Formats: sequence, C-alpha cells, structure tokens
Amino acid sequence: MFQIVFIKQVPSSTKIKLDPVSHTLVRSGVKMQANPYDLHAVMAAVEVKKQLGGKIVAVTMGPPSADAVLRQAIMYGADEGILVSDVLFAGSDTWSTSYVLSKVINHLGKGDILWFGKQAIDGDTAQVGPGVAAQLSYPQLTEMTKIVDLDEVSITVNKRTDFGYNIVKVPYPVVITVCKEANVLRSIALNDWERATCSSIQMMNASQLDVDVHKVGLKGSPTRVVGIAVPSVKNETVWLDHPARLGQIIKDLIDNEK
Amino acid sequence: MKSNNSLIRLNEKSCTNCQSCIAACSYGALTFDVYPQFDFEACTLCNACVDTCPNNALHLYIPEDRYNQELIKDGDTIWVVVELNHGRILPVVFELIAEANRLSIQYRQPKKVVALLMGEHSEYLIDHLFKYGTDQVYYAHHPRLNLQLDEDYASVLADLAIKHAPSIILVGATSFGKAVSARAAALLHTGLTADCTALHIDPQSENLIQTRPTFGGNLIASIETKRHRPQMASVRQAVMKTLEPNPKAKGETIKISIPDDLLLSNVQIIRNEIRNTIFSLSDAQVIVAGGKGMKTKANFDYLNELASLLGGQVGGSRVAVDKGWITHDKQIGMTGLSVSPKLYIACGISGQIQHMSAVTSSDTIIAINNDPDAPIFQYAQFGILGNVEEILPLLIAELKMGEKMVDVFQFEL
Amino acid sequence: MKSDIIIIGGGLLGCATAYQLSKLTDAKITLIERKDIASQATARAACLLTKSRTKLALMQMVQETYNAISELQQIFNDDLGYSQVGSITAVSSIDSHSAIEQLCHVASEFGLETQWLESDEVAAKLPWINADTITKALYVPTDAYIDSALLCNAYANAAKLNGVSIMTRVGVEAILSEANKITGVILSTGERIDAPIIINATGSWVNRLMHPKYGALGTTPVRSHFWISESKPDIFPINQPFAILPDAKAFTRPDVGGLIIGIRESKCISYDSSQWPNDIEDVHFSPDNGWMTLSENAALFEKYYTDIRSLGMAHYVAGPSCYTPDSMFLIGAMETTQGLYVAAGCCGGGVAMSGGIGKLMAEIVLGKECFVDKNLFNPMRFKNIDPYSENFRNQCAEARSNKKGG
Repeated sequence: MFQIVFIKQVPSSTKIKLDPVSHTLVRSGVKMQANPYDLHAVMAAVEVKKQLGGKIVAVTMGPPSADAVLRQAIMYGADEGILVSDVLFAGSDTWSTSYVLSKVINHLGKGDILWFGKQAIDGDTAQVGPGVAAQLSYPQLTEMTKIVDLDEVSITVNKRTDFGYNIVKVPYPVVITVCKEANVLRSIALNDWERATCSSIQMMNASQLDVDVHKVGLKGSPTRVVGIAVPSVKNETVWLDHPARLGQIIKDLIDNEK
Repeated sequence: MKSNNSLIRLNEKSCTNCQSCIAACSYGALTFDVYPQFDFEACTLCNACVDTCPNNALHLYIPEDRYNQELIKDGDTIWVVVELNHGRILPVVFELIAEANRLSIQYRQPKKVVALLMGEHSEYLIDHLFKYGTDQVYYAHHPRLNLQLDEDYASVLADLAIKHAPSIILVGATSFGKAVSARAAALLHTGLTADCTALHIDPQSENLIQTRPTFGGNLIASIETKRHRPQMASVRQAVMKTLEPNPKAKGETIKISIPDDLLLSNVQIIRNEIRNTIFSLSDAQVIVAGGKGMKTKANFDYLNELASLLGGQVGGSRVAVDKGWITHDKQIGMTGLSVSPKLYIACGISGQIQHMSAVTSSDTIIAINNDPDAPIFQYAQFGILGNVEEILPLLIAELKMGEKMVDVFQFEL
Repeated sequence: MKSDIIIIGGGLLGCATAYQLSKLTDAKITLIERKDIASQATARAACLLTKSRTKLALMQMVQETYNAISELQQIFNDDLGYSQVGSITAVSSIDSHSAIEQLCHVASEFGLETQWLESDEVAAKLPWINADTITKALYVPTDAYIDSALLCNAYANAAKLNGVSIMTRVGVEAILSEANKITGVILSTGERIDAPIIINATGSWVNRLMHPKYGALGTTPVRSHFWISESKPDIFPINQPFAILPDAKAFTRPDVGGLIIGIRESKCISYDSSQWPNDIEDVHFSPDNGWMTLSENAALFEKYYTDIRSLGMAHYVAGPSCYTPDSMFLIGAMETTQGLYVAAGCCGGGVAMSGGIGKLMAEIVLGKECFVDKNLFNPMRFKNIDPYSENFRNQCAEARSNKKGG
C-alpha cells in the first residue's frame, strides 16, 4: 500500500484579537502547526498500514518552514515527508493548490489512498481533497468517520452525510477526507519526536513537478480575496432574567445554524 | 520592502510606521525594521495587511498581463443545483433560487435563473422549482443519478456547464453540495467559494462578490472569480430568504439524457443510515459544559439531557474531572481539549483562563453561574445569574415545550 | 478616585498581598489587574507546595501559605484543588546525600514530619519509578499541591470580602510621584487614582513600570515548563506523592491519571522583559514544544523511569518564572521613592510562597514587625544592574539552571 497524507500548515489558533482602541487585528507572533484534521488523516493511514503494510508519505505545500508540519506527521506515524515549495506557488487558491498536489502524485506515480483532513481550520473550504481527486480522476470519499473494512483492492468506510451516514466501498486509488471522529489522536512520545527530527525532508519545486506556472500562485488562481473584515464582536453580556428567555435564545441560535 | 518580486508593495511615503499591518498578518509574514518587511515565503497573499493599513500604503500588485486578457464571455444564466433527499428538495435549493433571482436583477442585463435537477422519475418536482422562482429547469436524467454519487453529479454538472456556459453556479453548502461543487470546480478549472453567507454583483465589473466566514468565523472574506467562468459558490443553509411561492408560475423544462459513459463512479453505497450524525466533543457544534458550580455528579444528568435536546456534546472543566463528575477525555481546557463550537453553554464554570483559553473560539458563549463577578461573564454573550440546579430544569422544560427545530424533511412542498 | 494602597497585578503575589493586607488594616486597598485574576503566569504553575527548604525563613513563608490555604478553604468551603499527597525527595548519587541530609535536618528542626524511605517503600508509593537507582529518599507526608488559579482567586475573593476593591481588565500606564513621594497611578483608561502607597506585583512586567524612573529590579522572566503525560492511572495513581529528583533536575506530580514531569534544562532561557507582550499567551516559549529539553535530559530521567522515551505526552505547558541572580525574592520598599513597594521575583516558588510573601509585604507596608528577616529579600540588593541586558539575564537564567529542588 502506498498512502499519501496531505498536510496543511495553519496558525495554531484562529482566534483573532481586536485591538479595542485601533480596531485592528492583534496577532503578535503567530505559532504554526499542522491542521488538526490532517493529523487524524495520518492516524487513519497508520491504521491502514498496520493491516496492509506499505509506506506513508506526508506531503505539504508551503514555505520552507512548513517542514515542521511534515515532522509532526512523521511523529504520528508517517514514514517520510515531501515539502512542495516554490515562490511561484505563493497566493495559490484551492484550485491551484489541488493542481500542484495532483502533480506531486503524478510525480510519485500513483497512490493507493490519498488522505486529507476534512477541511483546514484557517480556510475551512473543504475543497482541496475533492479538487485533487478530480484532477487525478480518482473517486472521492469525503467526511470519513470510520474505516469499516479493508483489503488489498478496496476500502469500505463510514462517511458522514447531512442526514446520517453512508457505508461506501471503493477500489483503490481513492481520495478520502477525514473527520475528527475517525480516530483519537495518540499522544506523542520523545521517541516519535526524535525519529521525526532525524528524518530528512525531500523538497520539490515547480520545475521538478512539471507545473504550468500560469496555473499556480496568485496569478494562476481563479479566485482572489478582495476584502477581509472582522465581524462585529460582542461587548457587553446580555443578562437574562428567566430560563425561558434563555431557551428562546438557544432555539434561535440553533435554528440559524441549520 | 526588501523583496522586489513581492506581490504586496509598500508606498513608503504613505507609511506612518504604525505597524498595524504587522499585527494584522495571520501568518507571521511581516516584521518591522524601519518599514514593514515582508517574508514572501510565509505570505499567502490573504490581503489582510493591505486591508488593515489605515493610510492605504500597501497595495496588492497584480501583474498587468493577466488582466489585460479578455474575460471568457460571460454566460446569461445563473444555475442552482438541486439537491434531493429521499425524493424531496432541500430547503436550501429554494433559498438559492430566490438568491439567484435577487442577483439577476443586479446585472445591467438580467440573467435567467436555471435549476439543474438530476435523477430519474423526478419530474414531479419540476413544478415546485417554478413555483419558487425558477425560469428554466434542466432535467438531467439517468437512473444512476438517483444514487447521488459525488463523481457522477460532478461530471454531469461540469459537462453541462461547459456546453451551456452559465455565469454563476450556486450549490447548497451541504456535505454533498460542497463535495460535488469542489470536484466540479476542479474539472471546470474555475473558482469556487465555499460556505458563502452573502452574495452580490459588483456594479462595475458585474463579477459575483462572495462573502464567507474564514478563520473559524473570526474573519469575513470577500472573494471574486475575476476571469474564470462559471463563478461557483456553495451557500450556507438558512441564510438566504426564499421567495413567496407563486402557484401559477410556469417555465420551460429542458430534458437532457445523460449518456452512460459520463457516469463512471466506482463508489458503491453499501448502506445508507438516516440518523442524527454524531460529532465528537472536539468537533461538536453545540457543547454543554459543567464546572465546579454543578455541585454534584447527579446534576450532570441535566447537562446530558440538555445536550441531547440540542444535538450537542457534554464536556467539563478541570474541577469537574477532578471530582469525578465527568471522564478525563471530556475535559475542556488548557490541559484538555480545545473546542470551537457554534454554541458553548457554560454551566457553573467560573471562567479561569486555563478553561477559557480552550473555548474562546466558540461563536456564542452562554453562561449560567451564581457569581455575577465570575470571569466567564466577561466572555459570555448571554448570561443568567443563578444556581444551575434551579435554572437547568426550567431551561430544559422550555426547550422541550417548543420542540420545533427546523427539520429538512418537513419542508412544505 | 482615591485609595490608601494600590496593588498592581492580579497574580498570586498581588492577590496574596491584598488578602494579607486586608486582614491587618482597614485602609482602602485597590487591586488593579490588566487582564483577569490569575490569567498569566499563575495559570501555568506546577503548583507544588514543598515545605522542606534549605533556609528557615523560606519554610516559615511556606507555612504561612498553608495557613492561608486553610483559612480560605474555610471561608469558601472549597478545597481549592488542594491535594495532600506528600512528597518524596529522592537522590541517587553519594554527592547528593549531604544535601538531602541537610534538608532533612533543617526540616526536622522546623518541626516537619519527615521519614527516610527504603527503596521498596519508594516503589510502593511511586509505581513507575525505578527504585533500585535511588540511594536515599526523604518523605514529607504533609506536603501538598493545589490549583494555583483557584488559590489565587480565593485570595482575591477573600480580600474583596474584607473590603479590597478589585479592578480587572484595566491596565496601569504609569506610576506617579512628586518630590520622591508616590502620588498615584494613571490607568489605561486615562483615569487617575491617587494613593500614597503602591505595591508593584506585576511579575514579568515589574520592570516595565519601574525602570528606569524608580530603579531597576533584579529579576527577569526565565522559561519554566512541564509536560503532562498520557493517562496511565495504573502506574501514575492520582494519590501518589509528588517527587523531587535533584539528580535528574526534575520533579513529578500526579495529574488526573497522568504524570506531570518538570525538567530543568542545563541552560535555561531568559527573556528581555522590555520586549514582553501584554499577554503571555503571545510569548513563543518553545518552537519545538519543549521536546529538545526533554531529549537532552532524557538520559538523566531514564534512570528513574525507563520508558520516558516512549511515554506519550498529552500536554506541554510553558510559562515564565521570574528569577533573581540569588534565587531569593524581591519583597520590600524601593528606597528611591517613598510609598513605593515591590513583591516580585518568585523564582519558581510563587504558589508555595504566596501566603508568606503576601504576609511579609503587608507587614513591611504597615511598618509592623516582620515574621522573617526582611533584609533577605531587599528589592534593591542588586546594584548597578540593567535588568534587560543579556549579561544580567544570563545570571538569572543560571540561577534557575543551578537550582536543585522543585
């Protein structure tokens, strides 16, 4: 089994502090980490490897410093890491990112299972997994909550839908995106850290991947962010005098979310 | 700015060294040394610094050559992809049809609103689409489409979009809608904005401006697909208003037979279970958490009942775990889980920083506590003062009384 | 606004001082905290209340903390997360024997119940430990740990009951004085509070309000950190004593099924507090999440716990301890200006010492006879220092690196 897990480097916290005076964002010093959903994807790959053997490669696209998230993936059980990095990639949107990542698979040959987290906590788009699947013409299983069955040719999983669950079976190769329910992240031990720290990370750039530079980066991305705003934040606690009123508010909040 | 190949440029004359750009950068790509210095490798061109600058000293530099190219000819329709659940149209579809109508009239030359219905034996739904504001229905039929497989839906959507060139495709941001639209956008090599909460047409460019929450809802981004068509957006459910149904409305239906060779999904659905989906505590949308003020383990029964009424999960503070009222894996806080639900109901939790640092990403915090000075109220949008064992039963009774949560199955057709 | 005494800082030292002062005087006391009570370094402490110390004065101060805790437990009918599990100080080299014997001697003189443990007794109390490696182990059955945030809030709430006004989410912009006499403070809101006495208990920020106008304080933040292991209640029972392992430069403490492991690196890291952000959440203590330190010290710790390298770590907590070059606190009057006092430089002992530091501070401010020799803690004992300089910061870091106990 050749499994590839895609990891995104994201800020450790998506909390945004608003300076009360200037109303600007306060984010002094940003700590980065692997997208939490992606670590669940690594755990799923490890589960498969335990049964079927083979190799797990973690891939990230980002700045050179993103090698830290590959090492994080190695701590959780990936065998090696590939860092896809090129200044030409800066500003890539989900389409361009999917394009580059599909080129990585082309470069590696073929993967049996391509794992992604359900979504990234900074962008929340849930697009790159299906995007890579489409570019490679692989089938896609989004929002996996459990591996139900496995063999040499196919995988059966539980996937979440808006109305419940589907149990679906698909032959390899396949793209699967993983929910946090799929497994429990194990605790990392010093051994894991030491192994990850000693691992060498392979670098790949645009020319090595035979990427059409017109399709990547800010220039090649179909979408463009044209504005960023901070939603209005609460100032004062609204005090309620009766639980019934609180009940109404909770109902309204829940209804709005549906 | 050191880097000349940087795509964000600084006008040093306008810069007052206020450093607000540095604070605005979510990726740590800006540092300060005489002027803002830009780490091009770390920058994702999210534009936050440009937007924050009070002096308009920063600009996103867009190389001219790309934008002198002519836009692919814009289409004259807005499509809405119809998602079905057991033979019924999801409410979000009607919301999208209404939104498509509202967008249409923002163009100098209004666009036609088209609903794309896929399946077999689904003709009976077409009239509902007209009733809620559709001008035209494309009915793509093939028995396999009733299986609602991502790959098949996306192939058909992409194939028809290439043939008929819509300007905009709207999809409900359901689990299925997001998976299909992401796949179709990749096939179409076009832009897709997920989870939109507002849409409008830019009066000048007539591009679709898509607004969506990002960074876990802590930022609101506006996104445009400048040259690629169609412009694709998935839209959150229940944020757009439906139109008043017009029972007499009629329109044109175009039946399209889908050839077998477009439907090549090799995914096999073995079983389909309709039941409430369960989220783990770390991913739950609603969390009811108890702390020291719960006083007894028995009082946690209230939390379990409240959580099940709201489709949520129960968590606890460090003290609750220490007292054995709840298991260690449900501990929320600095030495437990971090959570970011839509709704966090803190019961008898005083709000120490070790706890709050793990919950402040929640959209709404509601606090029940008998101490008006408890720090939790500094974070809570709604607060109620009193003992949990008195308030919770009344709250549960209230919620039980009016159990009419929005149910997708009961949408009136 | 007017007050008789202003305390700046709502961490353990500020709140304990407010509590101890409020017991001794009816003066109008105002405590000002920029964020929330117990929200900064206090929330990241390992919370050991080690009674046995090498200096008598320090033992007296810890005893005051225990006294305060039982008062607060009674006032609020709340255990404050207090857990009397006892402590074991265990050594494995002949070199350390004289130190541990000295510790035992001083402790017994002070009247503490102590007991030498055989290795099988150590193994029974600490199931995870490799007892064969231990040559001498001192057990203090009455040692405890506590929840530092609950303790700090209890100090604050008890002070409030005694009439102290507590202002949170308001910062102090500047300390004001005229003719070498304190006159008050300016708040971040622009408001002014007049007061003839100010106690600066702002921990990592203590120099920011003082230096250079009122003198330099000989302390700087130094990184302290600990790990919390995955839950393994069979080998890490919740009621096991906390352990101090001087030869591994480490301590351990039970924590809901897991083990807290604190390790002191051979070269500690200090910070320039002039560059310190307003919220320690924004400090990057360890880009490597502390693994480097654990890796460096694993060989030492392995002697005590063979599986340290494969033990899963669920959490890593890092925070600042404000060290001084001689590892003694800064408590007392700033001679530069009448009415200006300081309680700072906790040297990693803020939780255990809080009650004593607060009491001593209160006695000094009120001009009462002190229960310990206040000269030990004279805040101006370091002359001609630049607290932000690398040289000085290194001295403070070394004080932590060379520290033996918990």
